[in-house]
Amino acid sequence: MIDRSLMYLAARQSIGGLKYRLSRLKNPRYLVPAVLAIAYFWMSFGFAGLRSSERPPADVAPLLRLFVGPGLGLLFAMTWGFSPGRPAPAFSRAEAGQLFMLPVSRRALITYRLLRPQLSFLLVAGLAALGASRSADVNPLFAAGGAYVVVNLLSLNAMAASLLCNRMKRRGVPSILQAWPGLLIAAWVVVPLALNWRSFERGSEPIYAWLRERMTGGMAATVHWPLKQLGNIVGATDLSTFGIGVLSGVVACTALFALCMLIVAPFEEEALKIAEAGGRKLDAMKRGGGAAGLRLSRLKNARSTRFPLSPTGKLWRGVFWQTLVGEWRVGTWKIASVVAAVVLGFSFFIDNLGSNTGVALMAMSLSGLFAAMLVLMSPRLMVTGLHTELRFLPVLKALPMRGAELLRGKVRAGALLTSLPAFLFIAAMSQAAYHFSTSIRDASVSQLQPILGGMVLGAITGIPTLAMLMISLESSAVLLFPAWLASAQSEPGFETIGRNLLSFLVRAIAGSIMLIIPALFFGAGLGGGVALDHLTLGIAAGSWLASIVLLAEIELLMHLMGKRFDNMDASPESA
Amino acid sequence: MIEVVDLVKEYEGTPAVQGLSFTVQPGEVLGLVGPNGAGKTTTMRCITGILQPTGGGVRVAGADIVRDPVEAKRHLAFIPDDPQLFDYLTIREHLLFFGRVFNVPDVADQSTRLLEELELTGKEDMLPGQLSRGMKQKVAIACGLIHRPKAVLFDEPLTGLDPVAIRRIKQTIKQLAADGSAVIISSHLLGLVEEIATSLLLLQNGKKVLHGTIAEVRASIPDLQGGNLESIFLRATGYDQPEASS
Repeated sequence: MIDRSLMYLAARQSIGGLKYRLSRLKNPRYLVPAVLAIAYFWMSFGFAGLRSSERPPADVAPLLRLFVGPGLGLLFAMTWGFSPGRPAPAFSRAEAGQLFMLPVSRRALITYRLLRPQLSFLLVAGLAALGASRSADVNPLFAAGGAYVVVNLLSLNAMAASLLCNRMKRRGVPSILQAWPGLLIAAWVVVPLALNWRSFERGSEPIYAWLRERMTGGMAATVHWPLKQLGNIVGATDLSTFGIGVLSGVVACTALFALCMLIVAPFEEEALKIAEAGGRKLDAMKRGGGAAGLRLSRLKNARSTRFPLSPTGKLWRGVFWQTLVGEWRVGTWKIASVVAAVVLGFSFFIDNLGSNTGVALMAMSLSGLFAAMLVLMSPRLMVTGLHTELRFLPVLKALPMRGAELLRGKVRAGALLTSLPAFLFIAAMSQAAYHFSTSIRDASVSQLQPILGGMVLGAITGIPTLAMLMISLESSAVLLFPAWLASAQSEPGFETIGRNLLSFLVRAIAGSIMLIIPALFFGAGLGGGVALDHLTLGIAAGSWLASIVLLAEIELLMHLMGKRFDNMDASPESA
Repeated sequence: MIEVVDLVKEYEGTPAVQGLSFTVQPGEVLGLVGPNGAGKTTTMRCITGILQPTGGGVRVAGADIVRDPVEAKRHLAFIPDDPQLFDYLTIREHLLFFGRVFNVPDVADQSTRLLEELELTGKEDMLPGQLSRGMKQKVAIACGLIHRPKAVLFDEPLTGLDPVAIRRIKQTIKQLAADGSAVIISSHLLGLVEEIATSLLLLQNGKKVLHGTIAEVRASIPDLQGGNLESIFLRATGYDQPEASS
């Protein structure tokens, strides 16, 4: 069942990958971000073991014991629910291209696939131990062992689900019916909890006691026994509980492994399709980054734009058109604009509700959710400069245009795309703030209105200018450190966290420096407004003045960076 | 049309091209050949301005690529071996964009002509991700030729193409030369070079080993008279030593 050559491959791949990642730390391009990433983890987790006196008296273990089991149950159900769309084990493109041709059994291939990520699973266990060290009652060793068993269980569950779906698909079972094991598992988890439901009465009992009764009382006490044992692995505080938990986990793993070996059927064709699709997504993400890359990999139909482009004229307008047309097609801005419009709609809805606080609360929660979505999208909104077009640098360099013109087109198009959702969002926030300033009868709060008016007027020039600043800094980083950014896209790893931190810090510092003079002009405008006793006009005028100065600075930056582009080597090797 | 004078390019002190000089006249097709790492692609990238020469100079249509890159690039087209197309633009949008960058007033007519010539008609609204490698290569060629360049550089133009596409692209290259463009083709396919090149430049370790018309190159190795380009290549690069006379 375990093919020695595949074992060798799995081991060599893991060790080789680790060695490569360690050896590349000799290069400052990787070392500096790695040090920063470690510093980040140091600050996040605090390495409590090294300063145990500061460990907080946490009560994490009981919560882990309550929630990990049912949470895992729901994860199992979701995996089975999604498996009809992926009815084969997930192999990489290289594995699918090479291993399926070898004279090894399918069972050996599955075993290999299960063994291959063990080093990553050990890393997960290490992180779990690190996280546990922050809590006074969770044993780091138990947490590490438990996490290792749990991730293996999840991996085996995914494998069993994909193999069973593969088998059902081969027998002509419709996709909708292939999800039945998922529904059964979901029912197993949810029904006992639903039967236990009773609303929480504040003051009559502690919240933990109420939770424990809901999660472990009644029918759940017996039906969820296996899930409870799995929860105990991670949240165990004594050796016997941990032992029983691990034993349950190992039994579940063995049963799932046996199921995999039993139901295996020819999966190569489907696995190849999945590997190709996965590879395409990976390629697209490396090129376009994150969600945009994923969307690109799914983009099947397009129609050439009707947005006109005159064949002659200023060159930056050509780049502006190319960026606008291409980026709009990928859709992040469309989604962001719709989300921002929804937030704006909610803000008007809340304003017109009168005294219906329940509905207002719901609407506010939803708008908060959408606003959070918008904030999550914002990094992608900023990446319209040269960042996503690193691999095009040679193509762009061969074109008869100056770097400054190229940057001008990129930055202006990006600012326009970013400004639409940003305007809608600012309008929504202003509307919400206005609503509260009028609903609260407090003189100090109602004074907010002239400030809000000034902010909205100031945003007309402020938002596009700030967007231009962010995008021009992003593009400047590409031109100053192409190799750093290229390796971030093509070779993601542990250092990526540090690299992103570093990039953010550098841009924040550069941006702050560039904002000093505009801030002085803003202050001058504001001072003028205050002197004339017209705050709204003061804020707006200050913002307009600051925008003009900032625009001049951005032009200077683009001019300098354009020169850098004109003089740089742009071959893929040097990038 | 293309004039390379004493070109030097070093990567962090390691020489890739060392003192290379040659010219390509209008109507001439120069085959740039050499073993892997000989400096062919570096030379092409220096000519197109993608790389900054460490020494020497390159002039295209009389304009210096370092001092006046915009003017020099106006007359150039570079078709790389791995066609890089913008993921989010359709084929038509690619042609519109390149037309604008090169200020082509009749971009619509020119696009239609190129799409027909390269058998891309009907695929105008497709994205690069929907095209085969050969189709992408044709789109890259169409983008390169939209402004009727006076100097065209092809880096491995036939990689991954089917026989029909190979024939089409060979015809396009010959037509370009016939219309008065200076063409450089870098390729490992010596048969292709022999078939369409009028002159040959053989590089090794960044240095010129052989240069001249195909006939001159043949004449330079007397004992291989009548031999094909492959034999000449192997002999000139030292991979095939002449038999010692007894």
